[in-house]
Amino acid sequence: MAFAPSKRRRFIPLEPGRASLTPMMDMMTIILLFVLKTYSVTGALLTPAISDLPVSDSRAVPRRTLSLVLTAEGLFEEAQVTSDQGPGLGRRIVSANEFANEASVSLPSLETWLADRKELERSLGKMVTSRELTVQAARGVPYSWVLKLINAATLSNYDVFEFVVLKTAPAGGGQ
Amino acid sequence: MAYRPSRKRKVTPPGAEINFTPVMNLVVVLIPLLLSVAQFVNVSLLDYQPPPAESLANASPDSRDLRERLELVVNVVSDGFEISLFGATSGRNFKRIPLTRSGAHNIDALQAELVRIRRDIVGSPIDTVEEADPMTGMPVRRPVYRFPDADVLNVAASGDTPWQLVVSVMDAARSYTDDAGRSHPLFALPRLGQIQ
Repeated sequence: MAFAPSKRRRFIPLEPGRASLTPMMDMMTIILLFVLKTYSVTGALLTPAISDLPVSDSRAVPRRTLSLVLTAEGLFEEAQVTSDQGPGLGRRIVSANEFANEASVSLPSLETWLADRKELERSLGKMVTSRELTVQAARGVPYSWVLKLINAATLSNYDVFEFVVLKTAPAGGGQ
Repeated sequence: MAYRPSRKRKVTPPGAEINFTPVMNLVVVLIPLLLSVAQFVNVSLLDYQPPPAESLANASPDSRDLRERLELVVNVVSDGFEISLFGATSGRNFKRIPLTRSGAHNIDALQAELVRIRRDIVGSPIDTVEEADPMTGMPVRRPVYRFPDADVLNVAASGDTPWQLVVSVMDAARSYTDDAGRSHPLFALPRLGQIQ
């Protein structure tokens, strides 16, 4: 007499299907290594507040210092969040009229703001030793405005200027 | 007759799997972070340090450098560039570079002229000297040329000149690349001034 077929296997519970993460891991690892190799994290310290920065082949690494934004509307603090002046622009320090005033080579508003800034940092217990000022000047602003800014800041003991520019692609290609 | 061994023994135990979840968490956070900052790394800086307030006239006679000065000046004017050496306003030490046919300032011709001045007039260093770096205070060896202002380019432009044009002039004067692909310094210390 033939034995009845075993019914045991019918009761083996099937394993639930699992998504294989291995290809995704491979892809993520490759992208992570590529991104880490290609981009310098230091660059993330400086965010362009305006899109129409001048173009340059300078390759100096951006640093985070006291940052100002110079546009055709005047001189602004750099904002970390979007304000009503637009993205990246904070409070207006110097108006366009003050820049356009050819009778004066100084910018009293800026000198006052820089002095207040130093006083605030002193009151917070910070050592005020930096002489560096980062300026994001739009490519179309008049040259005399930049010179006025340099002159006024120099009077307030800021004598190292770092103008933010957009990198041009090197002749050999690449980033 | 012996029974056939049960097949249940041959069932291999499930292998221990590496737990990828913490790594995945890290990677999933890092990749969007790096990708989000990637758009900003095309930013660079253009360093500018104005000359110290003490002028040459105020310096004591002992501290004055009596060597002849190059006094390289690039005037950015509406019809092109004017390049002056040794304070000349005409003659062989004064050159005009007109606009291009499209009406733009000829940056390439300006750089070619600056390269010529560097090679033919400034020449090679005559000595080296150890100085403290003004920014870091660390001692650095600096080449000495026959002109004390051999690295200085005075840029003068009218007040309504767009900032981009002045940046382009400073770029052209910073360095150049020779035919072999090597980079050489030109006049890396700009001094900005205005034509009244």
